[in-house]
Amino acid sequence: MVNINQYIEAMEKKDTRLLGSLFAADATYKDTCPEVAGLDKYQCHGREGIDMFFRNQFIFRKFSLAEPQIMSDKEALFVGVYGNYYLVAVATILDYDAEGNIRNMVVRPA
Amino acid sequence: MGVYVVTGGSGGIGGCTVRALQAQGHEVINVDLKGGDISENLASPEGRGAIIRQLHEHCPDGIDGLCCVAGVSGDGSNLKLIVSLNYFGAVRLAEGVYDLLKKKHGSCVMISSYSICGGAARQDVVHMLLSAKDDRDEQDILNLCDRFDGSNLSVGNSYYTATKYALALWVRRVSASWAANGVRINSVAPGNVATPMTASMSPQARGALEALPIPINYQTGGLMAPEDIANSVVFLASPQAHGVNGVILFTDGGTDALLNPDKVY
Repeated sequence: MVNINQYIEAMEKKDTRLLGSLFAADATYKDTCPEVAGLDKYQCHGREGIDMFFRNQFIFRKFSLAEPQIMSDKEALFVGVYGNYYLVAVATILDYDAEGNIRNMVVRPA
Repeated sequence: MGVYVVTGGSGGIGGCTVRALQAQGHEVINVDLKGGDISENLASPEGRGAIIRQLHEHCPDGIDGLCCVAGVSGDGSNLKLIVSLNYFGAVRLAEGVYDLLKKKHGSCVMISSYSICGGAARQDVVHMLLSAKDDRDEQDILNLCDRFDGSNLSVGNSYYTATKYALALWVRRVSASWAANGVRINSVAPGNVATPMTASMSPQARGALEALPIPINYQTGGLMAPEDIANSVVFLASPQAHGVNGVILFTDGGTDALLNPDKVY
């Protein structure tokens, strides 16, 4: 079963292949924090889609993550940097597939 | 068989478009500064005037299609060329041969860019371009380019994207009246394509290009093939696309859908 720690580690390393591998083939990742900054929410689907989406975000410095605090196996707080906006966000794993990969994850303002 | 005019047909997407049309048996007139059947400068009002005159002389019975492919990237540090070629070189030429297209109920295809969906376009430039009515307005906009640092990649990119955004909007705006007069007009929005233009980019610009994921190339990496874009251009220009008008056809291997999955319109 994927632990939220692995998600945070992949995000901090900006290792998008590793990040994608944590998710199910039919996974959904949704982050509504960008809407607070007047941007479109992040929504991506599938292991490869999540890999490619965050590769783009990282290279163009649209998103980064700092000061993570692990709340449980499924939940973490962090400071998300969305463009020029800093937001305290909470990431929650909602669901897993049969292999223990993340199937559904949401990130929202804390 | 028809008569098609392709700008920028000496290489890249334009070259592939020329070959695809010729393979279907059409007569193709290549308008290109280097190696064209008509070798005039699309970036200047005088050059465009000469092209329009020659096309009227050569095709008095009209043309079946105009494919405006010629353009430059945002990496060239020449903001004036970006504006004068990418936008005015396409729009003014299309307006200049509109009567020839009407004669044969032809179609027009413009090349925009998938980058228009990324919010990088300078909307002030977009507004100015769409408001320009004549050569004097064009010159005023070109004079404004001197105020900006074209060597800055982000400035060049914002101008490039603005020209492509304005081009897409122009297509949308004229499409209804043109169609009512028998002329369809559409646009193709390519993803990042392997062309002579992209091959000559600076390492910095090239890195930015390759950072944009292309889902159909997920396993192999690399940019889109120019043939992929040319096939969309040829389709939109063909009678098989008779029901398609005013469309911006993203031919980007899925990049737009990846980055904007919730946008359907």
